[in-house]
Amino acid sequence: MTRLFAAFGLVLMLAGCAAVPKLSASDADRVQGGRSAVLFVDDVAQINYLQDKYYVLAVTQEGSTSVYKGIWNSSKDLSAVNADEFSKLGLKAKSAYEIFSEQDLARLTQQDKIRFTMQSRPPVGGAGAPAAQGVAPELRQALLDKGQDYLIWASWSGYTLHIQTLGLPPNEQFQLRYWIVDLKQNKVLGGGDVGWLHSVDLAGQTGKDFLEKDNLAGFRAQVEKQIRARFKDPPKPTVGTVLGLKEPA
Amino acid sequence: MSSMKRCGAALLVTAVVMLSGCSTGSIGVRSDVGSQPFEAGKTTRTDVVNKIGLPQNVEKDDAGNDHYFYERSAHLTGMCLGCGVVGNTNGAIPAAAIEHSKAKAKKNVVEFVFNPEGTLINGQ
Repeated sequence: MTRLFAAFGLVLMLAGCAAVPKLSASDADRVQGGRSAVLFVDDVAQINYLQDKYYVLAVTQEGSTSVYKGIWNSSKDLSAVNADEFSKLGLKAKSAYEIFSEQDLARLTQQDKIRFTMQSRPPVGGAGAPAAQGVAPELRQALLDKGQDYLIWASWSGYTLHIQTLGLPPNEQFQLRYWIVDLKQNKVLGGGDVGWLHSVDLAGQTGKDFLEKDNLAGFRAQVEKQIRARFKDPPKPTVGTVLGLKEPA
Repeated sequence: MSSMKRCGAALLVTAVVMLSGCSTGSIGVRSDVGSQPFEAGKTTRTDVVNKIGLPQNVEKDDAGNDHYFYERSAHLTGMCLGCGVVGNTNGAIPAAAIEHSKAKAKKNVVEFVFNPEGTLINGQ
């Protein structure tokens, strides 16, 4: 029941966001044949914790956050994870961090970070700007100069660990969003969202210990495992099928 | 007499259940942050994070030092009276209760400062 409410909440949170359509079959073929740079931008950089408490007459929810900005370079690591998985889908994909230095990438992507995001910020360039426009001219030219045909920009909602009450297990949730940009035409060809909401076994530990001890070992492993699983987890929609890069099984 | 004792015991159990929040685990925000024997000039950022977890907030100052802020408690984000499920529900309780809880958590904060090399300069 709680899972239903959480799913409903997630849907409400995402309602109103401009939907990014999946690739047409011909665009998917072109992307498969070209070179793609993969860039994951973690503009959240914090873990969200929620804990429900049951008091018979009331249920309360407590929250806390854990900031990992400057402690884990998640954008770099998760760009590599996504590039690896896109390669397994048959794309000639490479992490943007293999193409540019971190400093150059930070400078080149600065302008587009506020457009290609799942965070609720005022849209720049009018409603639907990300779907209508490509990337900033400097980023586009830099990628073209490096022989790239497409940019797969990925971002996410951030990771939430929700500890429930009434005997329900803790769950973890996040939403991934992808945009595929044709660099030659400088326009977004398509994209899509892939969500994850599932119970998680904390093995008797607190949420913070489960995710944060040993230099975030649990968190890093959990995020990588679940992102990789989103690429190969039929019958649930996979990243490949949602983006139109793969036919549903 | 024995029925009165049973009734009293039942009331006690009910009160305890009503007052102690039932949950299937905990976030694990540490109330003892600040009591660890960290040493300025020696303890590193990694030592601190490994010992007490991640901070709730991080700020960088003009000198490039990182300020890590640790709250000693979680804060209320929602409350639902007379219902079984809560998902950021503010309905029955004024938002002021949640704001008060957040403000209280933010007041009870321990700060650690690390130099650009990641060594603790001072804490608490």
